[in-house]
Amino acid sequence: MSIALLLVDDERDTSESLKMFLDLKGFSVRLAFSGQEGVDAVREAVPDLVLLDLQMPGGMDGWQALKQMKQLAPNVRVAIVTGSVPDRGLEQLALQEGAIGIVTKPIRIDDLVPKIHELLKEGKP
Amino acid sequence: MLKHYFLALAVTAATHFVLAIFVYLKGTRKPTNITYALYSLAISWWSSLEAFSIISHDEAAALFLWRLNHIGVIFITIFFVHFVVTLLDEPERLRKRRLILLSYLAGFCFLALDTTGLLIREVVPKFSFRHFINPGPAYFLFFCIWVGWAVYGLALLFKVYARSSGVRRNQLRYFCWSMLVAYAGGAPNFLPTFNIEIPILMPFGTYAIPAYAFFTAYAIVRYRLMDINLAFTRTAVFMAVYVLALGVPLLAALSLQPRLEQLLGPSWWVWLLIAYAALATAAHYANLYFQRFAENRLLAEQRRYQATLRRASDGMTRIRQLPRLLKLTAGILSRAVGLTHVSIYLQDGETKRYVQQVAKGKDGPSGGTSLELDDPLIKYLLVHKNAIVLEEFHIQRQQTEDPGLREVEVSLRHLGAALIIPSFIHDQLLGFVIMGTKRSGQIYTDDDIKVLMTLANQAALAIENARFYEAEKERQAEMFHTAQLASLGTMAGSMSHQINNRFHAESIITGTLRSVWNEADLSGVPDSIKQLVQKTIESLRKVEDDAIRGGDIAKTLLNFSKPGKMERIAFSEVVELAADLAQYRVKFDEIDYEPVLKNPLPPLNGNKNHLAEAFFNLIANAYDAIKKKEEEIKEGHLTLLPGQKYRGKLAISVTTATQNGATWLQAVVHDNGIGIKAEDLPRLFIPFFTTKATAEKGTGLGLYVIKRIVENHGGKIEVNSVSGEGTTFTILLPIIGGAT
Repeated sequence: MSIALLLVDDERDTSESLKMFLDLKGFSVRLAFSGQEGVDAVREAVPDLVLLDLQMPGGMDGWQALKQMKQLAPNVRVAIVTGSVPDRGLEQLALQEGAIGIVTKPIRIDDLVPKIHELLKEGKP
Repeated sequence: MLKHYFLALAVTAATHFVLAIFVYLKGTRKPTNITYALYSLAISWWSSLEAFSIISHDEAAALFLWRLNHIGVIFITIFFVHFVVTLLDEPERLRKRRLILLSYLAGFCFLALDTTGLLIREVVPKFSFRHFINPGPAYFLFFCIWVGWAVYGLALLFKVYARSSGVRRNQLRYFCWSMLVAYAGGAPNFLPTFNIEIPILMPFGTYAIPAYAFFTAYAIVRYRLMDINLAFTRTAVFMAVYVLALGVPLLAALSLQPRLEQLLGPSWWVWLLIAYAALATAAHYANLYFQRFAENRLLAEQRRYQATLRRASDGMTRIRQLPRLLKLTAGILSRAVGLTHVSIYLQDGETKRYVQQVAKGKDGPSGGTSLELDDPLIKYLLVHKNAIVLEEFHIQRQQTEDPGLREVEVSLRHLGAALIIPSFIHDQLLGFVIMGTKRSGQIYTDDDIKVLMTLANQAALAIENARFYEAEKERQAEMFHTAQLASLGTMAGSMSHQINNRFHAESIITGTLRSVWNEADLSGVPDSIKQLVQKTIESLRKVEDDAIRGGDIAKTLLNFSKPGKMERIAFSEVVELAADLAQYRVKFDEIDYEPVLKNPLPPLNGNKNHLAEAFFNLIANAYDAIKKKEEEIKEGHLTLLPGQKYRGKLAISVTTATQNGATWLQAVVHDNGIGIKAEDLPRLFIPFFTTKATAEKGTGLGLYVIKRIVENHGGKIEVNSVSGEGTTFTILLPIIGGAT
């Protein structure tokens, strides 16, 4: 059975492109284009991994979405995706909020699949 | 005739006695005052005793009184010369010491002779005198020495006068003339001794002696001859009024006694007494009136400008621009008081020197002069915290023989200062005002100095105000600038975030496209298409790489726009972080990169991100300078020696250094790049000054930001550069516990 991923990002082009790539690599990918859509998707079916962008318009940002996802499904694995330079503060905050790790933008697409596997292996919900 | 003699001598005795007491009380320790008081006392002694000598009916008593009054005569000229000598300047005064001693010795010899018949042989009735002396064999010698001594003293006094200047010259002028009048009037008293009678001069000449006292009194009042001022005005007026009201009628009554007796009968003196009682009452009111009048006349000018100065000092604190305040103050002083020149000195905040800020009038110190903090004058002002009047300081200095005071006087004269008014805030000498002499020739009175000190204190407050205001303005400008930079930072932050996102999207899309093409089944497709696909995949890879790199650069900018806090950091981390950041711009494999860090390095208190930004900028600049030089060589603008090959070198050395007694962290960034032109060096740290073409990387902010960061950390940055050879930046940063 393929690994189920949920990509939450308001950037449609990037997300669709990424879905195309990850489908190609054998993942089962769902997309959500806002924090609310992401929460709804988790309520529908809990994926193996959520890749959650922090900066999203429309009322709910990544942190709020993360909180609600963890309330819905305490065991859901969520990795934070950010364009910021990750420092210790951000890392601590992410772990504290229940995320299993951080993916920094930009990421080389070839590095993405190993990174997903690494997160699933090391990250405990 | 005898009555005139008696009266003149009595008035002389009285006036001189009062003069002696006053002068002595005003300066019980000053040699000038003491000798002058003794001189006046000698005159008083002589004149009072001679008054009785000449009217004495008893021969034996008369002889005794004559010998007694000659004690005063002997010492009149001795004290006089001694007094004049005290007015001399130091080296000359000391040279006259032996002469003075000799004169006192001679005086005591004559004193001894006075007890024998050698000086005064006998007393006989002479002319209208009941008893007058016949000289003994030594008298002629005595007379010659006495006259010689008087002439010598006068000559010396005129010499002092000729050499003097300013206020002192005015004092001495009155003094010289009054002495001359006194001696001209007094000397004829010797004539009857040698049986010579000059009709008019003889009785009336003696009046010249009290006239001299009035002259002197005037000089004292007008020019503060011995630091006596208003007290003497009162005495002088008092004496003038009572002598006129009571003395002149007495004189008249004595001359007209026979007529009065005829007219009023034997009880004529009763009428005289009644007249006297009336006159005495009138004199009391006249005295009050004239005193007020004299004071008003004498001090009118002073009171006028003192009022002006008070008004000025009240308005001072309202002026906020320092230069205007200083100019205004100097102008008011110069105009209102009528000064030859005035200049204001203020302490410089950085050098601590006292620098001339404003000057008015000629004869003042030359423009732009300054005094060091250890100047004797400054030290003196710091200790005494009071105004200095040059004339008084000079006299005081001569009498205390303190070598330190001499240096102070040299400073005073060098500045052309007749008066210095210091301005203190708490115990800090903020500055001082140098004032020349008054154009009127008048002296600075105690009242003047009081008003001027008030003005100076008021000015000190106003100056502090103005300085605070200026500093506040600067601070606000700085805050505005910081706010600008901060908003620039915020803008740069959100912009680089957006840019990063775009690069991210670009890399994902091209990356996806590339892998899709990569895994596409191309079987049965012509070779030419396969090659095309391969080319496309390669190009997509390049675009993807570029996007990743672009995103990283944007992220670096994002990092710098973060506000940071000061914390204990190790500088090695700063260098590593800076080098990491520089990876995106600097191809380290193309140059010799040599970081040498002393191990261990002391920790410092700072912001790692900001310091790394500064260091990153220095590394990037060095790299640009190397690239520029390579380019210049390639284009043939720079030629190397034959056989030489250019390779860029970037050396970083971090160690500790001691400067000004404190230990600093010293970071040196050296490159062998293109260097900086000498004319560009001074402008290097000015924001938006750049030597790089706009199309190249320069924003013109790099070095400015570096300097700001270094200075925010309490550090310093220096640059050394030889055009075409290379550049060295040296940064000094305070370390924890590095200050002594």
